[in-house]
Amino acid sequence: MSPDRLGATICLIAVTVVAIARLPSVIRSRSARPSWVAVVVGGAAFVSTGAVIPLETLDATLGGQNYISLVQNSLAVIAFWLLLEASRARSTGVFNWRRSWQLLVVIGSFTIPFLLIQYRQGTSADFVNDYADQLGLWAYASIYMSWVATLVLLTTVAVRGRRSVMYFGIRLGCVMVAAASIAEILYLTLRVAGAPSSGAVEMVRLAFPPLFYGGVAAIAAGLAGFWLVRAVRVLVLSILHGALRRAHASQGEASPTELTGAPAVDAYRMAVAIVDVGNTRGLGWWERSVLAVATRVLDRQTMAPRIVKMKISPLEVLP
Amino acid sequence: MADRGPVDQLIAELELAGGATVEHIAGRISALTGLAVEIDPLGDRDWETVTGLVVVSGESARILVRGSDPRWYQLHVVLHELAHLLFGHTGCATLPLAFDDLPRRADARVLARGVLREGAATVQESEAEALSHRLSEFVLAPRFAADEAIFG
Repeated sequence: MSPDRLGATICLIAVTVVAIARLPSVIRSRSARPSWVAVVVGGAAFVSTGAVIPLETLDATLGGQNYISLVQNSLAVIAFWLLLEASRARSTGVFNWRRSWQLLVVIGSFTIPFLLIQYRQGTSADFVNDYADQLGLWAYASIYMSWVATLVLLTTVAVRGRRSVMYFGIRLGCVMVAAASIAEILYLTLRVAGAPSSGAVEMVRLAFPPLFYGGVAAIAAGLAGFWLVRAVRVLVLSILHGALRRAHASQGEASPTELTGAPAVDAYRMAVAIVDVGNTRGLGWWERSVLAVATRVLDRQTMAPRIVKMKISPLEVLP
Repeated sequence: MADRGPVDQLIAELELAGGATVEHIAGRISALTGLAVEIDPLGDRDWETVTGLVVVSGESARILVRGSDPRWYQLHVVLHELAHLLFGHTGCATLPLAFDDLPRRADARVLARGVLREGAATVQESEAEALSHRLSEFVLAPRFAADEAIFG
């Protein structure tokens, strides 16, 4: 298996896992959908590398003239554009679909040189390398890679200042993909300029697969991290809420609060109710134990601040 | 259960967003009530059944919270007292201590969050408890809720 095929297969598995894991939140929340669509479109781009269905079969459905390469690159820029706009939506609060016209410009800009590539007959598993001596191929692939580099670098700008550790994966991945894009442009330029095959040129060519696919995997890991952290938090707090509810009921108390659907808030309210009971008549060993665990979990999993001495005047302007 | 109408109305007036801090909520309540709000973690287990209290005097309110309680419980007590202030409550029928016996200025009133005994809950306590629960939803939002909403 070629490095490209191996990388594409690994990335396809990664984005498929992320896409399936995020399905419930995507159904529940509109704001989660653009980044999920980015993952799905990215997955489709990896499918178009022949990772699942043979490349020849896919390309044959498009006429067998390597149009599958154009489809693959178009899907990739759509995925990166969606990731960028989703990152911007985190700041603005709204996903700006009106900017989707940009995709026409981006895709159009490398479709024109693609159509200028001569003798594209026959599906090529290594299309870029096979036609690298053509100026049309150089323009097609270089313009595509330039857009990819631009989109991922803009994404790193869009997520600047974000403090979640998950952004490390997204930032690292974006930088790796940008580096891969630059390496690919350099390699294509050397090839079209007629540079003799050498160790240095080969090194530039071989830099692409680990950087690009590694970068995409890092981005997918960052996205998966957001889902994983939330899933673990919900699970832990739901278990805690159940234990607190049982401890509260064991005191002969009726459940004092209705469920909000937010596990942290539900667990917190139930813990408050148990402390209230404890303040009245004391708690048994089991109830005290559950409460001790609740204190550790709630202090860790929620933003409940340490209450400190503060004084606020009505004339103070707060942000 | 307190009537949701006044609680919803006050929540709307506060114009809070997810991830709001106690300081921000206290600031909004200070602005809406015109009271200078001071929050002070004091006291300890010696307070026994009083988990927190607020002393309102003239144009200022001082919230005292039992510092020995867990962090999240102190949060609840502070939010409860802030809720009393926002509602403009005048008394607390569930007060487990005889504050009327304490010497204080004529214009001062004391509201305390004691332990709600069965049958003792008043409308004011229920209102304050309901509002504090709603306020907690803002404060207890996950640290990276906005990021999770987009990418999670």
